[in-house]
Amino acid sequence: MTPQVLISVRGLGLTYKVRRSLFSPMFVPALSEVNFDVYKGETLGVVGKNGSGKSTLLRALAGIYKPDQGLVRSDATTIALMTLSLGFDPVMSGRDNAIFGGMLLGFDSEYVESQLDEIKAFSGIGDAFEAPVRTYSSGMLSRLSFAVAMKVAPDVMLLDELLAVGDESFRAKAYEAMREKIASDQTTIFVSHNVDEILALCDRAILLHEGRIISQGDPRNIIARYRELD
Amino acid sequence: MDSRNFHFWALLATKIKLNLRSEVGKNQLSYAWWILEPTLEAAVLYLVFGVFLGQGTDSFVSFLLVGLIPWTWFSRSVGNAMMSLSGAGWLLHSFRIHPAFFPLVVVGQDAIKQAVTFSFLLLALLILGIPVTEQWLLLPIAWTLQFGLVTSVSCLVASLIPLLQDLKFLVNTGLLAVMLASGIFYDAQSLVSGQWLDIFYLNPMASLIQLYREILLGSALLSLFHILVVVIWIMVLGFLAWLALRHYKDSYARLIEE
Repeated sequence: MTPQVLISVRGLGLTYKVRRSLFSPMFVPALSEVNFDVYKGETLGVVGKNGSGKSTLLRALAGIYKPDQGLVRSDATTIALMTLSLGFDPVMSGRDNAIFGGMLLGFDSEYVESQLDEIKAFSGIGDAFEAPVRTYSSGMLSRLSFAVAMKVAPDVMLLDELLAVGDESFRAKAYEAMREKIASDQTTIFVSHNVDEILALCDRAILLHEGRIISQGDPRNIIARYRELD
Repeated sequence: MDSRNFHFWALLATKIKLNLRSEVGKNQLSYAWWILEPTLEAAVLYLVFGVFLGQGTDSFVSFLLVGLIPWTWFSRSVGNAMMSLSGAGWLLHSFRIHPAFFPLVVVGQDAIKQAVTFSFLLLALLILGIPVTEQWLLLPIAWTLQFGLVTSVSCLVASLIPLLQDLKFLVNTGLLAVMLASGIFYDAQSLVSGQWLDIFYLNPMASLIQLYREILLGSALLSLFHILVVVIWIMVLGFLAWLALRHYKDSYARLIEE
């Protein structure tokens, strides 16, 4: 059976305008001529050096940045970028932030509220769930956002280094949860500097270099090519 | 209404509810300030105009309060909404979210708090011996007009400041100018000469405050002219805000720093 294309990216180009002074803006190309497809249920890894355009690519896929050239066509109902803080508001409690974060991912409040007990349990932050997020350590913050992301997952999850969360034991739990999600037909695109994660979790990978895809396909080949860039 | 629109309003309502809840937890006095601030301002103005300049009557106190409370709502909401979009980089870089969301959260949150403040105003007027008349039933008209004005001004300034940061200084000066020209602490009907009076009331806050006084203090029958002035401002500013938000909708995430 031919796999179903969920997202199709054609000729994607995106340029940042940096204002140096009032009349002389500088244009910095972040992505150019990017072409690839994302298939339903696959896990696609995105690798590349710092500044190669990985985070910009995820934001273009999520519809946060509008392309300057080309197009991103998506058949997914919900597609969202999972970041380390999921838009958390420091003065609101972990519980309230989980509700709002889940709604930002595209779900209604009733559904998110029905998942709150599981989110609380998975995050393992205990009673701190009721305390304002400004009192959280960075580890607790990422535990909570990862728990929301796992329990309220959109059709397409875009993960930006989200597996680098919390302490050793939570990282193992997060990794296991990720594996289960991937096995359950979840479409995931994730950016990571950790080559072992890419090799273990991804069906395919793309290598970005200076805003262009220089290689895509089997993760082992991509990682080998990525290492050659050093 | 499509599901995306519905989700926008649901998200807005949830955020307003959660913000109000966290505000109570954060600062027990936060609601009290909505009453304390106009009370303190009224006390200072009463000292200057009522005592020093010898106009100290109960009717002057009620006159001041009916001007000050709507003004505090307007200036607070516009002041709070002004930087709401510019300061939302942390959300705009992570989620696809309509830019109107940010000023609307401020406007909605402030409007709910105003229900408390206006109850206080009505109570204060009763204590000051102002007679309750049928005109009071028209209060929702002035309240709705003010909500419309606050919404359109807030959305407009919030949508323009990310494009031109320096505009915030102009907004502050503008607020001061509008305050001085609104007749909060003087009676424009008797102080402004006839030929200028119509022009004076082109200021929407001057017209709105006059409407509040007509309703609550029974100073005159409701004037269609004042209603019309406010409605026209709401439509013009609201349309400009809609144009700006529509045109720059996809650009804010890249214009505003994370």
